[in-house]
Amino acid sequence: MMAATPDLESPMRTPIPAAVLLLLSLPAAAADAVPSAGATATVALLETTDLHSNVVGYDYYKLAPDASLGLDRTATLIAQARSEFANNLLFDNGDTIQGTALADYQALSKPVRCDQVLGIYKVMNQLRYDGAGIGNHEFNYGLSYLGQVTGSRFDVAGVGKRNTACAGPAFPQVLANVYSVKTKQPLFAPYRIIDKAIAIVGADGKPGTSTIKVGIIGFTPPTILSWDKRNLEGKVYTAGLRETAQKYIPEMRAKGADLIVAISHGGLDDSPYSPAMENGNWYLAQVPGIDAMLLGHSHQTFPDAASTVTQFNLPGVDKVKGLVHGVPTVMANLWGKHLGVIGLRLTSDGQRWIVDKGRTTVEARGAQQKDKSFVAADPAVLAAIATEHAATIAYVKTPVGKTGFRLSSYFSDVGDSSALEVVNQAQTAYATRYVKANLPKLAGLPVLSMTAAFKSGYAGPGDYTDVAPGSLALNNAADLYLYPNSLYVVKVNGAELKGWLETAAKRFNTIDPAVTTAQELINPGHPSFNFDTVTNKDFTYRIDVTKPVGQRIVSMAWRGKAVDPLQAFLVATNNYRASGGGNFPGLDGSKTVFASPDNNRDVLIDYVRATQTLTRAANGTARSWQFARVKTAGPVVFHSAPGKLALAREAGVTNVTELQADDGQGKGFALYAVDLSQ
Amino acid sequence: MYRNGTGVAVDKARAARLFERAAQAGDADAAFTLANMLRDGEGVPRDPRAAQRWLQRAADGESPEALQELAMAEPDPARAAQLFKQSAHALTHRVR
Repeated sequence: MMAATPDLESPMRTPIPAAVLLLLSLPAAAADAVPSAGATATVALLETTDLHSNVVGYDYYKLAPDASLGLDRTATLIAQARSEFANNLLFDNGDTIQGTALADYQALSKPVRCDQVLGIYKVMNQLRYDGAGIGNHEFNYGLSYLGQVTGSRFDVAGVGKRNTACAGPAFPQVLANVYSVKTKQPLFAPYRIIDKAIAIVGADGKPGTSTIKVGIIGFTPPTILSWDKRNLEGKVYTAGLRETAQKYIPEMRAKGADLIVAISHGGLDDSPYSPAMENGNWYLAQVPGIDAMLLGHSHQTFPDAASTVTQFNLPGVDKVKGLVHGVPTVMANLWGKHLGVIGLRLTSDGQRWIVDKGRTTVEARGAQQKDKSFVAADPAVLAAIATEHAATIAYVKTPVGKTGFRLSSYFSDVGDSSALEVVNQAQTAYATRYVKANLPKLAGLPVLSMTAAFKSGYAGPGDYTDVAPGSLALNNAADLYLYPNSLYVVKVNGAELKGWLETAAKRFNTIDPAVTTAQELINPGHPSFNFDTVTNKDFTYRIDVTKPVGQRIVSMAWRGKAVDPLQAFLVATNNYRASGGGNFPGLDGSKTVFASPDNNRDVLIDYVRATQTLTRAANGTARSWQFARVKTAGPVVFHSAPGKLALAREAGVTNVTELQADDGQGKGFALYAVDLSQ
Repeated sequence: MYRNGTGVAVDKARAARLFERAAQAGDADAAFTLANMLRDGEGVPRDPRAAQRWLQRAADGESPEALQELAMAEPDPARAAQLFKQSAHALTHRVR
């Protein structure tokens, strides 16, 4: 139940039936616009934030339900809160339309039509949201798409202005600090004033009704300009939170707003104020006139007495009561796991409603209950997007290419590159292309790629990468590249490259050739995901496991020539490694020359799509390293899943034998030996 | 700079102090590096418990790598999956 503020351009998107209009007008007509002094009311502000397109609790890559998240469970919390607070307004903080395969399907694979309401907005319409803000991720698919799905008519450079708005949400969306470069006007309505009919208790103690004017104003992190530079440069500019609020809040009051609610996508930061700061709400709270703040973006829960997060332990922040400089404030975590509930207690002074801060309550209510179970999902949510949900599942199962061989990691520790080479090939191709186009000064350098077997039996003999020959779909790519990393490129010299490989080679115990009993090859203290290897025929090295850690990499050569310690290389890897994961020498972010926005898994998918058919010869045999040859008096052993020797042979690893199908340790592994003299 | 000897002599202890200062000020990436240095005893005495504390702080500050580190060490698969998801998300808006 809201009315458009008359002086802001805001076409009603959904026609309101006459009966509803009649209902709307009744309470306002029957009640005092300004209740007499002493009247009281409780109004709840409900917040969802960072839903990230988790409409139903479902993991589209595992193709399995996930009860721990999803708006379908928040919907149950919303219904509970509404039964408790007769007067309520439901708002979303943003980061709504991006984040799952459902979002990608609707934005990229089969773009939602102009006459269709985006899946998540459809559900939000059904849940009767009263308003929403705009998060940084709303800009990820570009302004044309954002304009379409929000039913807007953006007037920005490079985006054709629509003659008529497309189907969008039935609730107002506000954003005050992003402006069109072309028109200097705000991209969205900066604020809206919602007329809300409420039940009150009159000064005489009798129940009555009234209408309250709730002003909502939206903010997003000004940092969108760098995060979404590609989509936004030259088209929009941002303003700081403080100046924007100082400009609009008096205007909202002048237009009669009884309450002002800031829907600000961001957290708190007390470092010196800047209009470009990402989390400006510690300052926003200090702008006079804000009655409540609904925050987001940081994926945290506030209030939370136990929170150790820096932003909730700043001066002026009460993490128990949910106050920031005295302003009731909530942040409802992410993915619909929580619902923010601010219970404003209002008293009329005869002129306007005053918030009684002492009695106002602030909570972030979890969908997970005390016994660790989750509240039931509201079945109406899945029902509303059943078609989109089913189509998304079909989309992730669609083949992108095929493989003629089995890609597995059972023998990655002893040189089988069948699950690694295609990853390195994809990363090398991507990095080479990027450097050539964008970093011409580095284009002459050799480009290598490193990757590791992410699954290597840690959780048992079933815990290996193992992709069968046949078609490869989006959901298989997660088997080949398990971690959600982004591709990063680092520049290192020959000495640093050797240091990298030395650290990787900690994967092996030091082998004493004279020992006649069995020696374990693998050092379990160095996980397989930290055993980076190159799989490039032009780059070769040997690992001498008889030497101590730090002296094992020998005969390192590029195109047959020994690598000079000062020779520069570019290495494609992932953000984890490039930013210091595994504590590899020199890698702590300072060597990164390109932090790609694309994740390694997507890079791999694109490579498979372009290659179409992976073959053993082209994509599954190259290896850069061999063990340095040494004759050992006793066997050198390792453990892997039983009965897989044929796979090692197919991959060209000929120095391995299966000693025992059961290694006797009770976990189902077999015992294998590697002959280091071969 | 002092950690890798970029333009200066390597001084790991000084590097650790500088990372600690930045981490104290809320820099999640610095907290992650400091956690690594504490875990491996680089420039500071080895201190796995302090390393874990800084790792947690880095993760709270949305360091994608710290979230991934926690995810990879997490025995509960559901919890690990959530941490990976948060790591993936944090990567999409890191400030560089």
